[in-house]
Amino acid sequence: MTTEPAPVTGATAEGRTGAIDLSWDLPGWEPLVDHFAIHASKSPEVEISSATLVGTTVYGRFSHDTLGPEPVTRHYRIVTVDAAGGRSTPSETVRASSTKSMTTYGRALAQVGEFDSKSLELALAPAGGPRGFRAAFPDGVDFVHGRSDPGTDWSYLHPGPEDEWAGRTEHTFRLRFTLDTVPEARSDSRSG
Amino acid sequence: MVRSDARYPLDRRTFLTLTGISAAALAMGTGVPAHAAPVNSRVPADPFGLGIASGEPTPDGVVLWTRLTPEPLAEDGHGGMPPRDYTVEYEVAADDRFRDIVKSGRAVASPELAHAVHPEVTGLEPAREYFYRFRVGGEISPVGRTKTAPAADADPGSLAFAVASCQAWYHGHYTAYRDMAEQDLDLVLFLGDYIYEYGITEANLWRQGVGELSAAHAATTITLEQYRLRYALTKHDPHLRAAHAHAPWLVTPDDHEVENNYADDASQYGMSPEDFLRRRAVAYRALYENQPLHSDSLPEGPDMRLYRRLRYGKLAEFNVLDTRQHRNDVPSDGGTPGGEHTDPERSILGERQEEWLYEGLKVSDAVWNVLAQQVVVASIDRDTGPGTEYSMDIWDGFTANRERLFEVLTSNDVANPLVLTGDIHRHSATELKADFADPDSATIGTELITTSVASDGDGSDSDHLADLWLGNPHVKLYNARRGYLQVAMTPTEVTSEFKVIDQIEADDTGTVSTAARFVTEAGRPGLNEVSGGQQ
Ligand SMILES: [Fe+2]
Repeated sequence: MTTEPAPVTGATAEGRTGAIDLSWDLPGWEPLVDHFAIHASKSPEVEISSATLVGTTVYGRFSHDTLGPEPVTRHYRIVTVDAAGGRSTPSETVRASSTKSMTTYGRALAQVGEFDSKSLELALAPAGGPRGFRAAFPDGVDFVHGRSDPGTDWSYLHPGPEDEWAGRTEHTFRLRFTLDTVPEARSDSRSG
Repeated sequence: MVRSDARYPLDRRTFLTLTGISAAALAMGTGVPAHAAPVNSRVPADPFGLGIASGEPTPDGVVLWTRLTPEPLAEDGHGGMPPRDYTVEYEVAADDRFRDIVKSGRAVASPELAHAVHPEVTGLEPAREYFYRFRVGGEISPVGRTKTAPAADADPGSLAFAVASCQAWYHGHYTAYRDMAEQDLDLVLFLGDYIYEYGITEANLWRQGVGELSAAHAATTITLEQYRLRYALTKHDPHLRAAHAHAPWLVTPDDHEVENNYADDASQYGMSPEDFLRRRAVAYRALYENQPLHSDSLPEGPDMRLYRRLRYGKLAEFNVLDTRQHRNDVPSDGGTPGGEHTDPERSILGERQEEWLYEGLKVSDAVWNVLAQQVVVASIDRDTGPGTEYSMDIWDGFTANRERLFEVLTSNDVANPLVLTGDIHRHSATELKADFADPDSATIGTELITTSVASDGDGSDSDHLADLWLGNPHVKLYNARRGYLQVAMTPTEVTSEFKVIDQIEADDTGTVSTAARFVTEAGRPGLNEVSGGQQ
């Protein structure tokens, strides 16, 4: 009959722009872990329910990366589910805050798509990459702000030389935009 | 038993019993005496939705398989079963009406194994057809047909088998299995990519007429429940169920049962080995749960024994290989002449599997020595011009391992090496050369490469890679349609029939035809084209 697996220990949480990264200690192989269920809440009492479930993984880490540009605080508890369907009591609660994105205070010079942790408004999304990138962007992405269309001209993924699906080569993407005057200080860019 | 090698210092079942309650529960899935079987509480209706199967035939037995799934597509991967043990009974008969029942027994379906059972039936007659079925509560499964291997010292006059690989469920219908289930077969070999880990979305769902899939299927498989669900979706297909019920299978996985192009503990997607092995562990668990594998292959953590040897009398020995779990990682040189990929330390099989393979080949007295494995052994120059370019994911990325294998084959006069391969989603056939750079060098073996059952959708006879493949003089066939390979083996020749289907995306009514037929004569390695080569 099924017994309850032990909850994970050593959980940590750390914020960055738009995301909070969690990690914990991986337990032994018996019982085999089906997955870790990550529950998040704005309040310190993290209720364990489908409403608070933000993701599942078998790895010893998870990035809650759909938090948006404004800084937010989240509390997390992790439930271990084993191969027999046994569920642990929740881990101890950890908390962290994401940090503010400069898109919330900077002045935008050019913007492609939305900062919404999704890429559906961009070319080839959600899964056209493996088949489509080389066909759609044989010379890489060349996007002219104000004239190009994010839905066809900006790939939702920008492959690098390690990405076999895009031919394991380097790709260049260009984002062209017009400035009224040459700025005195350097500008910054942000993706999300 | 023909399982010739000593695999573990400790008997597997003793080992499992010693390692604790959970492991013992897993072992009971292979069979228990009546007094050890739990009394069933109410069994949900229709628990055999994923069908039945048999595999690993020996002269005196087979492994039977089923998994209880009253709701096959339940998203927690448990198929709608309550989290309790159930006793499953099985019967093996000499006739399909079950008038002459020769074996019966019980196995325990436990939630640890997603209510899969793997009864290991022994005491059967060699080279005989049998029928089997399962019962749980008042529910009786469909009937399966299986066949034992001939006695170790027998001289079988013929052996008929089918070879399949790469069945991305979402790319098309399993018309290949519709056809396979109508053939007279002793055995089916599956050479990898039974499932694919990719999320199923509008973009890759080319199999038409299957309705809406829930959001759970759109996720890349990473957790055990996700791998279990993907197997359930795949095995729910009626033609695949029919093919499993039709003949015993020998299954070996390739990369997509875990993750694209992985190498041992190395993911190609920037993940630590520690994390990746967690994924490999759940993927291997789901693989064991969903295939008619012997308990020798029951995973321990992230490790799974998959290489093994089966004998069909003196006619053939099948060396089933695992070219993923023990291989070295992708070399840094990308295939430049003399670069890291030629390092003598590199192995696609790993040291222990190489040793096991060579020892077996050296002492084999079989007419045909078959390597049933995943990726192309022949060297394939992928540059159609004067330069050279090689794929590092196949044996070309492990040239020293190939040289060691060929050295064993030639210096020991291993009879009639025959390599069976999948992976490339194309039908192909190659002559294995002592020196691939010299077309006049000796042909030392033959490689038959089966196309995909479904992966890459409809396909076409020729495509943009045809020139590349056929530019290698030892490549004698190229066809980019979907299908499977059917082989008729006798002591004097092997006839290979490369079957193709005109379409698989629209529905399962496609027309099956033979694209090419070759004969390989015993004692004369290579390919004699009967019809349709050099597509
Ligand atoms: Fe494949």
